[in-house]
Amino acid sequence: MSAAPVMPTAGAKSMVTLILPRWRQHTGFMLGFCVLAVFALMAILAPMLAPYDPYAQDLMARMRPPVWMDGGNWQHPFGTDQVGRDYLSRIFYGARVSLFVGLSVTIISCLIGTALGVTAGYFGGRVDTVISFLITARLAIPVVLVALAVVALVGSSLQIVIAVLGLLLWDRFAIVMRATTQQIRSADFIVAAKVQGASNFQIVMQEILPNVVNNLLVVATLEIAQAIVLEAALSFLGIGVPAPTPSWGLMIAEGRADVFFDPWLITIPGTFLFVLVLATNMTGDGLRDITAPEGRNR
Amino acid sequence: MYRYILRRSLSGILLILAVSLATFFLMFAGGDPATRMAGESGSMADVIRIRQAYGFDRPIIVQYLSWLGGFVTGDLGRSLYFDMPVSAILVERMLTTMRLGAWAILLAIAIGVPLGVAAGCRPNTKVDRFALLFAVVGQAMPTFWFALLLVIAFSVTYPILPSSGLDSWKHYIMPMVVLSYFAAPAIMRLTRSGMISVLDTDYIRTARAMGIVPHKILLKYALRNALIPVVSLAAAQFGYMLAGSVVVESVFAIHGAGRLAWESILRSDLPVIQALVLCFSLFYIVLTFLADVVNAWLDPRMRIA
Amino acid sequence: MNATDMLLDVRGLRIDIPTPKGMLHAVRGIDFSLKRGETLCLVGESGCGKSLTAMALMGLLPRKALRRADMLSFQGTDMLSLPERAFNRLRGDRMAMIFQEPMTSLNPALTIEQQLIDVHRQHRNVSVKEARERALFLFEKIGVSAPTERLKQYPHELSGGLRQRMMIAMALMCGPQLLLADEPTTALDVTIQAELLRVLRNLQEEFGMGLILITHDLGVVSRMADRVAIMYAGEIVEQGDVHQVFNRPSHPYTRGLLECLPIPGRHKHMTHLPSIPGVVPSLIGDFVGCAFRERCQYAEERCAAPEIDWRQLPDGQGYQCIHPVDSFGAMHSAAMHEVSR
Repeated sequence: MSAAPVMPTAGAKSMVTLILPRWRQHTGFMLGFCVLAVFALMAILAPMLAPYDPYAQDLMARMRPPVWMDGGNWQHPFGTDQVGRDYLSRIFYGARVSLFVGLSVTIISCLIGTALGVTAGYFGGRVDTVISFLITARLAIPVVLVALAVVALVGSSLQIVIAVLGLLLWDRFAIVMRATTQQIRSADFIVAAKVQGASNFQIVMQEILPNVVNNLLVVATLEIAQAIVLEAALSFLGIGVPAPTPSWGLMIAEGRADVFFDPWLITIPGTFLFVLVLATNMTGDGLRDITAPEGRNR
Repeated sequence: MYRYILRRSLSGILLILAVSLATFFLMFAGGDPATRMAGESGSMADVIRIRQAYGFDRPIIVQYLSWLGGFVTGDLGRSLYFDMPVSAILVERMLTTMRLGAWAILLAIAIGVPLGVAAGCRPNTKVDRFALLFAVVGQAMPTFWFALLLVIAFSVTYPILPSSGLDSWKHYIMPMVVLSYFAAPAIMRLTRSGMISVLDTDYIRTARAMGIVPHKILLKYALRNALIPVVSLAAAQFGYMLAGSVVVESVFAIHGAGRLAWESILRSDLPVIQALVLCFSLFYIVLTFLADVVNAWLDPRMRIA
Repeated sequence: MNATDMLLDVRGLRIDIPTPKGMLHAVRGIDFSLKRGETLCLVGESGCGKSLTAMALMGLLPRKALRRADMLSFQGTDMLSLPERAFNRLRGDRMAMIFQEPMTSLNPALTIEQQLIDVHRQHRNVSVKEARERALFLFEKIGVSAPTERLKQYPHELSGGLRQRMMIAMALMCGPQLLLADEPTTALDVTIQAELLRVLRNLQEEFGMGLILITHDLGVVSRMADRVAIMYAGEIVEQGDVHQVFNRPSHPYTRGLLECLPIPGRHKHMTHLPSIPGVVPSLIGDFVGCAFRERCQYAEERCAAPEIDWRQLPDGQGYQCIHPVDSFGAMHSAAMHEVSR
């Protein structure tokens, strides 16, 4: 057998050509991905799409119902809130907040979790014991509660929420990366690279990471969804993104007082939140099915 | 078996220590706690007085040890807001939350496991599709929004259920449904995938070759093995559910530990927050420990590990 | 031959499996039969359909596989029209099966005792105590040391050889008339293999069971078989009395298999063990002619004809070939002698 290491780039490329036909067959993935794309466009193009300034109050036009209800009109398709801000515009900008939080949190937690997981999986032994203990300890800490407490103590802002969630949500990355790295640690091409005198750092960066990127992508997608939900929950509890930022969680919280008379204040932002999370999860689940080796149970 | 339990409890204690350390330092997340307690109107003298009264002037390690020592003996400190021992406030609130959580996790298991078995026995059929839809929707549904939707549906549009409090069994229905729908999807999915892989094993083929009747194969030979990972998951979900009770209790105005935590956070009542975080962690650690013991009983192979 | 002597009669058994690339004709119309107390060895390379044949007899084919046959009769019962429930009552009682993988074939969560007793009580109205006694009785026959302790143990606490003995005990709990064994010793050490085969043969003789033994090991065949059926690419290409087939192989494939046997003295330098060149053809889609012709040194145009007739010799041996190979007698009786020693 030749000792030449499998070139990760070549491997990744053939992987794409192998998987490509499977994308289209997976309805769940296609559906989720398309909806996700629509939300992304909504967030990016919010300044162009939004008919009004999301912060502009109009006390003369408070609590206008959405267009499909009695008294609604196309001037404010989703109506207006308690201080007369256009609900549609706030929804568009809310997509920005949700996606921005989801992505930033995931990037932070991905860096932490992957570093820990790969280190544990690659070195094994005592390093693994310590990191595994760290992961277990992290799992024992109640996320919502600690996030609430820290945000409340440090002061709430978008950056703080992102930082706190990022520092708390790395567990799944660490667990999955540890397991995957363990699996490929003794693969031929890793051994070959070692024999050729590559340093541990080189091996991890050049051999291991390119080969676990599929799993990383799956976890990242699911983690984005979780971060979005958590941000909304924190904002809903009044300790997340501060008002008047147009966060869907915050909008639901503000609409709570009127739940008995104007439930659409809650159902509209909630539906968007739900659909975004649903689409993200479907994309993640789909990615897992698609990248799983042939014959694996779907 | 006993050695396994002993080893497992030792690591549990180690875990509690680590978590308590993290919880303790939570207190310093917002800077000097004495300044915070004195509030914006507090003078420098106030700060110094508080520092001495609460022992913030001692070395950190001493503070930690005395706090931990207090915790072990049941002294959780004194609430700044209520000005009474934390333990006096905590116990009843904790019991309320746990009672609700216990009902909810039982409901989640009662829905998730049978649905997962039904789906796992016949993958890619209508039952399976329905179960997956149920799970996908549940996993995307933010709990607070689902709770509010239920309120809109059953307290506003069709007022048949009370929207706040926990006074009668009717009050339990909506919070229970919300919490269990949070936990059931994962339980269902794991039961399903466990069932699919177990039904494909050689030992199930053996049982079929020996003519064991199908329902017995399912219940005695397959389910037991398929449920091993589900036990751990259900325990973890129960733990998360309690920690996540903040949201549900705030929507349904339930006076439980979650609502207490939220109120204490708004009031910067640090000793209460610390005690709650540690209690929830402790509860999670004990739950996962119990799950491991149950698993060792279900799967004899684990007992040697 | 008396009709009641017939235990199993299979005519024209076919197994088709739908795949994304087309229909896989895994077993393509095979005939064989088995008398009481007789041992038939099904021999062939992996993928030739021998395991699927056994699973079809047990009614344990994968759900998507399609089974067809002209006749499938077990003790005079027509298995083709037998409802699943009634079939299930036969399994483990009148017919039983042992599998290749002793490490994974026993339930890890139940003790040996629970699994053995379940089988017995599934089919017989006996008490737990009686079932346990039956298990201990079988343990003694099988040669299990410390039998009472074994009952309380879990599969993972036993060695591979012991687990396979437990499988045998489980299969024999109800005293079946037909035992199917799919490569029962392949996963085990050579010394344990020999011991287990001896146990299996003794039990078969004592209980008068019909035994269908699936193997790719001709050494096992020579030690165990009364009759042998050689399978290739989903067909039986030759079958008959084991001595006749081994002494006078007619089908080129049988001959090739026998030549691949390492026999001391025949190949002076063991560097060049002969092997049959070429690969087994794909069985997806329609296939006509002799499946072995691509690898056969005697192949000619006639071999591609749609139907190759089965030729039956008066002494019971039969084969499916246009140009049988003859007169290897001397050489292979020597081989037979070496192998059976």
